[in-house]
Amino acid sequence: MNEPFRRRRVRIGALTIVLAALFALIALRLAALVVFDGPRLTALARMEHTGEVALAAPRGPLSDRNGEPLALSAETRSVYARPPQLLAASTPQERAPLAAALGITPSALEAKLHRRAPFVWLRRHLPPARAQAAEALGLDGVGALNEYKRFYPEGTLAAPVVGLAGMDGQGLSGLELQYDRLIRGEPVVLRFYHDALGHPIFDSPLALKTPEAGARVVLTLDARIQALAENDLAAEVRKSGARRGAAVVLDPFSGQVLALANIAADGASIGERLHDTAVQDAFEPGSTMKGLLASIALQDGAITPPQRIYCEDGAYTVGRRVIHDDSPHGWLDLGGIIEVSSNIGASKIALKLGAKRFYDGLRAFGLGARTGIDLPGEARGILRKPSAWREIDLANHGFGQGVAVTPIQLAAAYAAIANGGYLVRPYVVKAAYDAAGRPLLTHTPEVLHRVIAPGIAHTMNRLLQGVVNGPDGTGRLARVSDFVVAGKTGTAQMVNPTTGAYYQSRLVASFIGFLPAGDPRLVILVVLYDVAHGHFGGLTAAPVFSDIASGALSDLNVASTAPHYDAASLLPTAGAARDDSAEELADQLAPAVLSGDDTTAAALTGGDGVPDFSGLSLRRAFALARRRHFDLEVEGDGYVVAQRPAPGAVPGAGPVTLRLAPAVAEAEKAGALKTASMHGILAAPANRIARARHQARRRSRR
Amino acid sequence: MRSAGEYFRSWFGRFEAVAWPQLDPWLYLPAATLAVLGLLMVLNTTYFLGLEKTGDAFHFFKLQLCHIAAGLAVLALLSQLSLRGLRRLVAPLMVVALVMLVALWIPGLGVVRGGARRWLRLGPLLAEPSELAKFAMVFFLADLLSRRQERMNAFATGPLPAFIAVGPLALLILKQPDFGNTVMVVMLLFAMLFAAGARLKHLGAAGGGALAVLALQAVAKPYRIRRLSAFLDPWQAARGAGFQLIQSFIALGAGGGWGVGLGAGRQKMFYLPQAHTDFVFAVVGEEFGLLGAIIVLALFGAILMRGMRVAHEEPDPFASLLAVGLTALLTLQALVNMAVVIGLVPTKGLPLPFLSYGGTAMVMAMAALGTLLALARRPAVR
Repeated sequence: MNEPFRRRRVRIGALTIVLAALFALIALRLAALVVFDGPRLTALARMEHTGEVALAAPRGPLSDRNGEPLALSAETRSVYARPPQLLAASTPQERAPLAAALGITPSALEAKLHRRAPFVWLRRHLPPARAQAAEALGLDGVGALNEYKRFYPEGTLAAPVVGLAGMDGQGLSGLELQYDRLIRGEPVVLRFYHDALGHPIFDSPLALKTPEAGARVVLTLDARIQALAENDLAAEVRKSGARRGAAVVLDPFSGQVLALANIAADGASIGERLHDTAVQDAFEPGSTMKGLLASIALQDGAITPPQRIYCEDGAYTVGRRVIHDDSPHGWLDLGGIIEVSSNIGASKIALKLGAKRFYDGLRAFGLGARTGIDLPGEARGILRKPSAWREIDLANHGFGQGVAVTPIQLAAAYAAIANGGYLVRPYVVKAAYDAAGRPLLTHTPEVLHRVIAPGIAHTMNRLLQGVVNGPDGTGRLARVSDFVVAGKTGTAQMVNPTTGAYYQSRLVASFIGFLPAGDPRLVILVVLYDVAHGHFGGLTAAPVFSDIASGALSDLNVASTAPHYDAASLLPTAGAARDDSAEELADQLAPAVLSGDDTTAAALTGGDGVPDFSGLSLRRAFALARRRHFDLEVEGDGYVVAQRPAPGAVPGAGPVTLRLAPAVAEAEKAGALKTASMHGILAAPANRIARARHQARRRSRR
Repeated sequence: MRSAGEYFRSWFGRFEAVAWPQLDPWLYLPAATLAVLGLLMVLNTTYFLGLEKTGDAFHFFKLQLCHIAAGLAVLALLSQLSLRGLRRLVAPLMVVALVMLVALWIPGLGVVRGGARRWLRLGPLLAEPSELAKFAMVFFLADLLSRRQERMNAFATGPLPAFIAVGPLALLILKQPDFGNTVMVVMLLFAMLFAAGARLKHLGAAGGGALAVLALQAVAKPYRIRRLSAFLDPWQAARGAGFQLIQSFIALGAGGGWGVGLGAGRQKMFYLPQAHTDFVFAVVGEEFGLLGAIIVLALFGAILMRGMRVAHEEPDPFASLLAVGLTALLTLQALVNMAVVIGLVPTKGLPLPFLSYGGTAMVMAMAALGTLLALARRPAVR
């Protein structure tokens, strides 16, 4: 063997060893990579490879009590981009048409694309045709997805109550938030592998579910009344210069909220416009408190309606403070105190009642506690423990100072007076149905407890009518033609939130009332916040009440129980100076009325004598008594079985005594049915016929 | 008139008409295993690429089958040759390689892709002259160095002529630019000089010089610096230049010990660039795990051992150096490719012999194997 051969063999051996060692090195490095970095890299791989697509579920629609839609979801298309792909595949010039199709500027588009995100929305919730224009450009890295957008067909109507849903279909405020879980529906999230370009790879057997649409929610609100309330309130907010206004329209028997209006002054921010003051903010009620005070005092027996109280001629010292009345009064009975809204009278009643009993009464009316209405963020109001009340506090509480209530609380409290004494829980959602129409939720009226006895409620009803109808009533502007109104004005000084002291010249003006007083259908509260001095509740809030009330009653087709003509005109006495239409109406109505409407019928038969109460329910008996200006004393429960003096007798000075028993329930039911048909069917056509006849006659005269 | 067959015989010597059982299974079995595995890898890494680019999911698979068929034909031909016939190939190979490298610069012939002039249009086919050049250079150096065995001790008579001869070739490849194949050519040159018995101090000095030149070249092109820094800290440039390396790591890591299974890998879905060519080893790691990757290493190890054994036993200097060069050609390239995939050296752009998709590379790997098979048949080696 020669030298070169030997050396070559050695060299080849060495080379082989080096190369083999390098292979071993690679094997070791590989093993280290897999063993030490494996878990981290595996996690990274999973993160990189998997994607999710959420198939949106449409939010359920919201509608008012009559099915009028308040919130709907419409399918829209949202255009997105995968910037790395799009930037690689096109030039800014090629992307300009995309910007144009989307309705954004090219520079805005480029800014979005250069955010270094793997996915960006270019424009969401486009009408499908617009999105189609963008997709048709066929740019690599641009796509579109179906999304649902929330529409509010009635615009801002009841916006603070209905609330808002966000871009991603999440409830943000109001009912959209409160019932979000029902409304939201069930989206489906698909998990899948995708390649680096984002193409999904559906290679696993997926159980494909379709997203489940959210529940259809029916509100107790009546869109017509809501619109009416908002319009009337907005006009008054503008006219009076108030910062905000709130109005509540409540069915006193069921607790259903028919309208909940929140109006902010012009120029208010979106947040203020969407703020649900009626539920979330407490205010000092002022004199509207006197209605509650009187109810509590009567229930407690601390006072009787005829009892007179000396009103100190306008200035009354309690401790070191002096309480003033707007105008000096001498001796007033309870009705007088309420009618003229005497602070001194109210103070004396409160002092007579005592802190503990007054407090308990207010709690029974629901003050100082949430009503439990199904809206988010309800405030509790402010009602301090009686142990903390000084004498002056007790006196002040009597006319609504030092306490704070939310509008919905106050409305619920007055609903208890209107409905004969029960506190009911107010609510705004009547029912919810799933996509197949199965009920998911049904709200029925919920009576919490009895606050005052029916007789007390009746008395209060009569006293509160005095505020509107009495000669010195503070709420005369709340009158509604054809209907009797019971209510109370309120004017309170505003509390400066920073100092805690009262502003000298900033007021919260309010009016709360219910009607028709004889058979209350609606409790309506109107509050105007931050009005200048002089805008008393009776001057600013009461007219709004009147406007809302007359509109709402007409929308609800409530027949008048207090015709604008007097009872005498119904009698066929000739020669009286009456206009044709009244006469015509009387002709048409008289037979029907005689056969059906107990109150009017009784009024007609009775003439000047004592009417016949027999068989009437307590409520109807009170209604009849009120119309004929009789006071009642009631024994028992149910329906009238006996009365003294007898029907037709010449009335004495004292009240009419009625004895009630539950025995004639069946008879009354039949009567009630008949009456219902009267209201619903007979009354309206009769009016129409009357009008038609009247027009015919006018034509023939020509 | 002599027939073409007679011309062929007079030039290359007699065909020895060996049947395949006479070929060394320790060489062709590992290579065949690698090629079959490579075919599977091409099928499953180019399925979506094919769909995306040509609409035919099997487009690349079919082409790779053609490449293997062509490679087998070349292998069959070369494995039949005698040593004389192989030696006769030296000049034509070198001439053809140089002509092709120069022809790249003829407009209409050279095809520029991704900024590199690496492909030559030959009718409907594209060839990569660098691949042929490496093969031709091994033949040329085996011939050159075997003649200068006695003069290897002096730099001027030993290594210098080799440097002078290979220099222009390397420069032509570098000019394309093809940094990876330039490095391969230089490494092969040094390996063969080392085997041929060049003195270590000469090699050390020349190696130092070559490294300096390479370093200068690296600095001259910013993208090479970027690749280098991305290699040093791939995570810092995970979305940029280091992206490929990170994706390679993810593939290997996700594969774990046993792999996710053939076809189940996800990194090939456009996450891992060049999954079917330069980074096919990462896909092997993902789908067959550490075990599969080690088996691939072992298969190349077998080719290394068997090829080097031929070189070791072969008394004829040309045959021995040719065996060294060809074995180094296959295994060094595999080493560099795998070192890139696992982040040991910066990204080069070299395919993995037998496994990666690619026509010229496959044919030339088969040619190298065919030549090794021819050498392994020689009596001295058996």
